[in-house]
Amino acid sequence: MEDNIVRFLGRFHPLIVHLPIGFLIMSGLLQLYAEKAKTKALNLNPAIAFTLFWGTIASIFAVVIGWLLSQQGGYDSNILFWHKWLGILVTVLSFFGWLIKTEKIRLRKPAFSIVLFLIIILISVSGHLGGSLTHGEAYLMHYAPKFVKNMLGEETKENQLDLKALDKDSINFFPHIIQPIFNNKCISCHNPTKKEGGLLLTTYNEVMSGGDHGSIINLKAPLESILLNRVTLPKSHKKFMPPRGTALTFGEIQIIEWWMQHGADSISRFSTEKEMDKKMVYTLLRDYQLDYTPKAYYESVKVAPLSSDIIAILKQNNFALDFMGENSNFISVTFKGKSITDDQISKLELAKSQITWLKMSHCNLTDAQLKSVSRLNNLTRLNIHSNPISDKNIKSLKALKHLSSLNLYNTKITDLSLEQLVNIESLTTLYVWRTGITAKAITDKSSTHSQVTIISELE
Amino acid sequence: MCNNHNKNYSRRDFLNKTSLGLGAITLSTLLNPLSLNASPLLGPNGDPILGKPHFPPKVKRVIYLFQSGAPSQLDLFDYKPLLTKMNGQELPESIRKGQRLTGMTAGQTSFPLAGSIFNFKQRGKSGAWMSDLMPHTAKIADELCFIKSMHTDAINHDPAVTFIQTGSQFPGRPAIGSWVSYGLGTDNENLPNFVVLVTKDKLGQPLYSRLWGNGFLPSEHQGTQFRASKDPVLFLQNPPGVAPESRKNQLDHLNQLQRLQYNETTDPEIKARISQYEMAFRMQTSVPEIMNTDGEPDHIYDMYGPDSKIPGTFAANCLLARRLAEKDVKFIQLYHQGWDMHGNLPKDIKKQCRETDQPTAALIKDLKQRGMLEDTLVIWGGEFGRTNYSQGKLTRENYGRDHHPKCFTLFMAGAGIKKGITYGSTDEFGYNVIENPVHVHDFQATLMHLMGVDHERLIYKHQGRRFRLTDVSGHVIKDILS
Repeated sequence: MEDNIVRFLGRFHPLIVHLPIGFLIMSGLLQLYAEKAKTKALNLNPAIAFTLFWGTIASIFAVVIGWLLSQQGGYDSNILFWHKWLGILVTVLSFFGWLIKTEKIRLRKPAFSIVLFLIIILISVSGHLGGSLTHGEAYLMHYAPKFVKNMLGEETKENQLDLKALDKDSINFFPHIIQPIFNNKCISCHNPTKKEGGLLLTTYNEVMSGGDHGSIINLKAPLESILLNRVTLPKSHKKFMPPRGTALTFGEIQIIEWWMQHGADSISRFSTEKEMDKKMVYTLLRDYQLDYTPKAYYESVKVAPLSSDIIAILKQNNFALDFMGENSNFISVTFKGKSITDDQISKLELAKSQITWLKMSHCNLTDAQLKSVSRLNNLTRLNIHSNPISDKNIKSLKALKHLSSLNLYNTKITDLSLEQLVNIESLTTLYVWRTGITAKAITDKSSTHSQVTIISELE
Repeated sequence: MCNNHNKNYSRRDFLNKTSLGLGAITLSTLLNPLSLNASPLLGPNGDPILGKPHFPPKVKRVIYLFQSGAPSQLDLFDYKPLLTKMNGQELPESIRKGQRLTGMTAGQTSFPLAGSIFNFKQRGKSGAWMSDLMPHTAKIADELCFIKSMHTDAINHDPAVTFIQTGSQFPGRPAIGSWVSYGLGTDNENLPNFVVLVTKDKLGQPLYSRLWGNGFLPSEHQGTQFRASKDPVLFLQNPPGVAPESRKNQLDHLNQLQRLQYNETTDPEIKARISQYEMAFRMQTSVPEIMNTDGEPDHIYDMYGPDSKIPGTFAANCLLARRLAEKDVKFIQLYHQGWDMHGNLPKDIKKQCRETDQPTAALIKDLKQRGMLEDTLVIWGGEFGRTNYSQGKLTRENYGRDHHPKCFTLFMAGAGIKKGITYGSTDEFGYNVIENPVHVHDFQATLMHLMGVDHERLIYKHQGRRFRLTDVSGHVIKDILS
């Protein structure tokens, strides 16, 4: 109980402390005015003495409750030492100044000015140290323009890292996302200078080692961890974190929760996650402009550009070309003719890594020609409907490791082909309307190979 | 049509380029060295202006089933039980908030809320709400992406149709299909890039050919209407007694003359003219091929419904749309009039749905079984919504609904968008959008994005101003992209 009263009073220090600051600076201003104005008619000495007197009284108060506050601990002892003793020195000096001004001690004329000057300097230094104790050392300069920081010789901190400049495959969630959250919202109190609750949050190891109440991480129930518990309390709760400044956003809390669920390690990357949680994808896109939405193969891989000669050759051979976006060298190719020759189809191999969509329908594509199609190793979509294709060479399509959509409608394939095709791991959609494939085979394969949607005649 | 005279070198261009131009080039290359190679605003005739699309073109072609007159979202998709509960009560002012009304109901002393008399059910696995009016479409609800939060600026038909088709309420801007043709070029040299099919003999708000006009774009990008008659494209066939060979001869000579004239004046519209004559000649064979649906098997006709054998019906046009899509026509625009139901809504809407429901569902299914939904987008919707209060007298079995720009529903199916989702929502009264509003320009921006075009970068300079489809606004609705 008594302890609480000490705490209660102690917290008035930051409030009371501004009284002596104001009074003492006021006396400085009055002294300056008196010397500049040189008006004999106006005697400011009593006023200066008055402000010094009350400045002294207020300083004593501030020192006493400041001393109470320091008992609560958690402050950097070095800064606290200087703050405390400079504060006491200011109190003594202002009393001394009052003694001179009221001529209780007689000294030579410049003595008073020197004392007053010292008071102003020391109160500024002490005040700044007090601010550093409360808000953390980085607080004042956090938003300073770059040139100011450079003048002060401050290093550009890691939290100003531009996420967009990074390859999104190499973004690690602890150093790139979570540590910056702590840097922005927590470390003003949880840094080596001001170790509130014995907790440090400036590095991964510190986060892991926890504070006075033990670990702040809970892998099994993230929301019950001390860390997330404290930031999700009602704002009015006395244990709510952060007590000052902006609270953690919903997105930030979600990210920390997700990080704990996934082992709270320091090296994991978003890109190594097999399937990102949809909510996380959305949060990262909204709050960090990081796009982790699932991408098609041709959007996530880069290939060399096609030479204009090859483009010309393809066009001469009755192929129409379309690019997959201005930043992509992948192409989508459509055969425009009524019948395709072996020579024409062999030309496709000139662009075998660039072709990702290929359409050759109604063009007498034969089983033998299917083999050269299977050498186009970056195909994701193959549309060869309405061709005299049989089961014979279908298995060669298994060489296409990225094929996700295959259209074989109106061909002569049968259940034998289906057997082969469902085993193409990347395949998600297969069109087999008007082929020899039976409804029963489709039902069977749909249940055993649920990753493939087999589309035939629709009701 | 003829607004591209001497586009290459106008007096203004000449002065600009000789005086300001050089200075500007120096300055702009100093500021940004890359811009020296930036593509010019004016594309050469015929070639697509975009050498490469901006994004992967998930949608290669669009079939836009435009429901002219504005179908009532409250009787079809936007289920509002509160309206049924409060049937006959006044529309609260706290909901309307002084929203302007058309002259047709502004004078009404009472605005009685009218609940839909049709039954609503959740459909498919996705649980999308639809009334019983569209039983066929309801069966494929899991293929569809409903946007229930569409809103527009216009309150009357012509400005609203013009707005959703051209991005401006004022006539004279290019239609969406023209922009697509201009930006992306053609995939089939024997057919127009932008084809329009209008349901025959429908009454209702008039449609004008400027809705598929090229505006200020070169005229080969205008939509071509295919009609359900002996001459699907007017003036395309040779006059009686003229053999194809002599027509070819004639065109070759005309071509020579036109090239002479072009060398003289360098008017790009001459090139447009040449390419159109050549296209017309090729269309003499390609169009009859498309329009002749005799080869379609009976089960396909059954799928599209009994109307599909009657040329000019919505069903026949849907079937044609599929055939055009198979031939890689980029933008296929259907119009079906008759949705403007100020009175007698319960009776009229049944008829409209009977004409459109089965063919719409059949088209989507037909495209799907052929694998064409992989790169084709189907859009169904009107120009605005209809009011939640009754125009005229509200009785137990009859009511009408006035124009309502604040919310309406459209749906899409196909490439590049999520299926089985409902995006955006309206308040309990079905009056205002309360979640994820989609403005007409947002819809257009999304459509262009799907086709691989950044709507902010497909621009055309005309009369000293840079124009684009979405004017000065429009955001891609990323949430619906797959």
